[in-house]
Formats: sequence, structure tokens, C-alpha cells
Amino acid sequence: MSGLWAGLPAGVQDLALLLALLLPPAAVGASVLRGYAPGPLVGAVLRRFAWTNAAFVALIAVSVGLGVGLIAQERGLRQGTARAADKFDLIVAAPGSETTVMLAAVFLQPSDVALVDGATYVEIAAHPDVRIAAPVAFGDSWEDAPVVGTTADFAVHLSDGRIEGRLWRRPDEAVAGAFVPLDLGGTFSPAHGIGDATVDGAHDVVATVVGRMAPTGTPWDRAILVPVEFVWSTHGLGDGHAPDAAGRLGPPFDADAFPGTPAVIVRADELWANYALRSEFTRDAETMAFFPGAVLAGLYRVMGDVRQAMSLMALVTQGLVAASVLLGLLILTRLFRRQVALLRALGAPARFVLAVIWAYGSALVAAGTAAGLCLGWVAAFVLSRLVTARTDVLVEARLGWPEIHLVAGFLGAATLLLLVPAAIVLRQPVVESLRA
Amino acid sequence: MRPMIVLILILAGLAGAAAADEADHLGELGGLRALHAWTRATDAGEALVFVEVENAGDASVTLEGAEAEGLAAELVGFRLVDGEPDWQVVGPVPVAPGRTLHLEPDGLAIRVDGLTAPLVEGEGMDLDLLTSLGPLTIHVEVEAADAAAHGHAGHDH
Repeated sequence: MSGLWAGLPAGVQDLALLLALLLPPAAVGASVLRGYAPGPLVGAVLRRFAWTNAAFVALIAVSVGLGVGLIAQERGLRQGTARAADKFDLIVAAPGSETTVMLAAVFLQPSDVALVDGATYVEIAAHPDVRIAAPVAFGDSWEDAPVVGTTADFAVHLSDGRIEGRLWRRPDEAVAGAFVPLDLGGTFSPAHGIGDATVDGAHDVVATVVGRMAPTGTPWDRAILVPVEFVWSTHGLGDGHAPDAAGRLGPPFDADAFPGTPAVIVRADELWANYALRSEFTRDAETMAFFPGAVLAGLYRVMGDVRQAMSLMALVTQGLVAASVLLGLLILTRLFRRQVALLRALGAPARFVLAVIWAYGSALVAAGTAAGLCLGWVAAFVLSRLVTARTDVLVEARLGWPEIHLVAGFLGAATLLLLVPAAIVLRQPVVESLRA
Repeated sequence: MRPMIVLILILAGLAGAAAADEADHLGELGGLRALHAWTRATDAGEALVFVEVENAGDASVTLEGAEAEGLAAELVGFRLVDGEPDWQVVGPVPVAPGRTLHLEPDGLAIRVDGLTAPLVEGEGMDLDLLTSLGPLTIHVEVEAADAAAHGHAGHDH
């Protein structure tokens, strides 16, 4: 049975789970409402106590919206950070923290890391399975934009070749990220350092923007890419080339003239080669090679506990709200206790009265759940914008199956539990209620 | 005289146990060595097998796949798809002379699909690594469900 379930497409599994969650309350509703049309009476009750009903609906909506928004946001953040690392198949760096190097190379967070030396870089670049071996050079900035030295091949790979204008042909030319506030032909003078540690005027050089990358959804959208030789020579480290190749841009670099790089971004032609290269360049006390995706997966596993805690909190919150709604409904039914008693005194069948109370409560829960779904979508949208603005990682939180299952589970459980207050109302003595 | 005999017997026993341990953790075919094969305890019907493959020979050797418990197994590589772990089928992988290929969590692995019995921690299964040299039989240790490495990882053989 479990094999059959596992063999189903994910979409079919999700749909089946949704139906399983909705089937019990649908069956209860069908049996409670069968043969009756309590709609006009329920509508009258809803209108008669409109403000009280609106408060109940709002309470449910906020609870459902919070749960839905949080879960969708967590997934959006996970997908956004994973997408940001998509272009970084393999990174080779000096031994240390994979997370630190990943944050520096993929998310452009300033970090102090050891450098890969020239001999190692040349070995990586010369490997027959390696197509791109891009050194990177950090440490400078213009306004809030990090200035990153790298190779033209990597700029093309990162942007999928979508570059307005052209690539650099001279060391003092640059390609701007999509959101850098510099026009083509604009010039800038990089400052030494990034953020609060910036030292303006430390470099007496000017570069010209000759190209602009299309948006990548990564922090590189706010970076300015320059030839790695430009960064090295600005810092008095030479240009990485042998004297007889002075003025050259890009690989091959000379092992002796290579100033070192905090990370080599590696791309292979063959799928299997990435895994083989990882094994080959993972060497004790020499180099570490890692997949940023694998590092992120490790972080997600740690975050997974937080995610489960968040999901549990959302469930508990909704459970509490469902309990509050049931309790509130019991109190609410006391408001129209006389009307219910009158109905019964006039000979209305007990199941009709049960249908009215149940349909009334279900209408409140359904309206609150629907409003909560909308509220959750809005909350996820707003939070995504905020996170994207703060991190430069494109986060797109959309409602998905987990949220729909959460909402369906809440709706199903609440509508089933609504039978309890409906049954309690029926147990109240008619004569006593008429006198109340 | 008797204590000496006892000591010799104990040492012989230890040596035998070490040899058996060595045989369990190491498989060899020509210059190809497969070391510390392991998987995680599971009852899901699917298992990922990890192993270190060292080519000590003079020519490149290709890993083509595997067979375990009468089931065909394939080489798969880890990747993230929309933030979720995923394993993509990887074609044959060559191992150059003098190189070691690490099949490890969140990297390359052998996926055995269709297992009918649970894999229990502490037990094991045999797996035939299909290579260009021919099949290489290795013993796969079943580690804990949340294990990150073989229990003897780092030991020399």
C-alpha cells in the first residue's frame, strides 16, 4: 500500500490528501443538511448578529492567515536561497568553514577567509573536466554595491549571457548588476572595504560601466563585476599574469603571479564531473570542495526543526481558535435560545434545528478560513518583499499545497466539532428556554 | 608454558577478527578498492549506499552502476530543486588512476530501489559494484537512520 502511495505523482498525492481532509466534514454536512434548506434562517441569524459574527470571522481569519503566511514564507525563503546558489555548482576554497565561504561567494557577505594559492588554482583550471574556474576578488565597494573581481566567462554564466551592452575589454571596464544605480557609460571609483568599514579615496582609479546583467534574483544583482585583474592591480598585487602576458584579461593565470583567491567557482561540462571534482579537490589541509546546494541542505535540515516547530505552533494556534470559536458559538446560541426553543415548540424536527446551528457555525468558520487564506497570501507577499529588499535574494512566497492542506484540515476539524454546540443546544429544555 | 599458549590463542583470535573486519570493510578487484560501504537504516524500500572507491591501478576504471538484493541500483547525485533535496541519475563515472571517488551524503551515491525488507541498524547486505573491470562485491554496513558516515570512517585498511 505504501509502495502504491509512493508511486503516485506528487500532485495526485496532494489532491488525494486534500480530499481525505475534506471528505469527513462533507459527509457530516450532507447527512445533517439532507432534506432541509436552512439557508434563509441561517442568513437571518447572520444578519441579526452581524457585528458579533464579523468578530468571529476576523478572529479565525487572523489565526489562519498567520499560520498560512508563516509556512509560505519559510518555503519561499528556502526556495529563494536555493535558486541563488543554482549557478554555483562547485566551490573550491582553502580549508575552513564551508558556510562562511558560501556566504561570501554566493551571497556576497563580507568574510575573512584564507586564500587558494596560484599552484592550486592553476591545477583546478587545467583539469580536463573543468570548463570554468573563476577566481573571485572581494573587498571593494561603490556606495552600497560590492565590487567583485572575476572572469568574463563567469559573468556570462551567472547572467545566462543576458548582458545589455557588452563585456569588459579593458581592466577598467565593468558590468553592473541589474539593480546597481549606474547607467551604461557611467563611471565609478571603488572605495576600499564594504559597509561601515569603507575607506573612500583609498583607490585612485575609475572604472566605466559597459554592460548590465539581467536580474538573476541573487545578491549579485546589486554588485558591480569587474575583471579580477582590476581588483588585484588596484591593491598592488599585480594582475595574476606572467610578465610576458601583461595586459591580458582572464585565464590562464600564472601560478607564481597569482595573488590568491578566497574561492574558485567551478563549472564542469559533464554532470558526473562535479561529483568527481569534489572528491578530487577535497584534500586534508590543502583545499576543500563543496556544493553550495549541499551546504544549504544542511542548513535547511537545522531549520527543518524550526519549520516543524512553526507548523506545530500554527496547528496549536488554530486548535485554540477552533476551541474558542466553539465556546463562543455556545455563548452565541444563548442569544437566540428563545428563537430556537420557539422553532422546536412549533414542531420543527430536532435535526432541522441541528442543521440550522451547524450550518450557521460552518458559515462562520468557512468565511473566516477563506478570509484567512487571503490574509495569509497578502502577509506572505508583503514579507517576501521585505526579505527581498533586505537580503537581495529574490523571495517569492506563494500559497502551495502545504497551506491548502493546513486550511483544509482546520476547516474539516472545526466543522466536525461544530456538531458539539449544535447538540448541546438541542438538549436545552424548550419551556425553560421560551421563558428565558 | 600454559599462559603463553593462552596469549597466543588470544592474539590469533584478535588477528582473525581484524582480518574478518578488514574483509567486511574492503572490497578489491584488480587495482580497484571499495572501502567502508554503508547505508542508513530504513523501511522505506529505498536506500542510498555510500562508499569510497579508490583506483590504485594504472588505467581509468568506470563505475557503471550496482546490483543489490537482486535489484538493479543506479548512481545518483544530490542536488537542490526548489529548496528540496533531490537525487538525479548520473551516468557512468570514470575514476582516474590514483584518484579516489567519495560516494557520500549530499554528494554521489548508489540508489537501491524496491527493497522489500527493512534495513536494520547493525546488519548488512552485499552489493555488486558494476565496473568496467567487472563486478566488485562489497559488504554494506547498515548504520543508524540519521548516520552521517560509516562507523569506521577514517580507519586505514
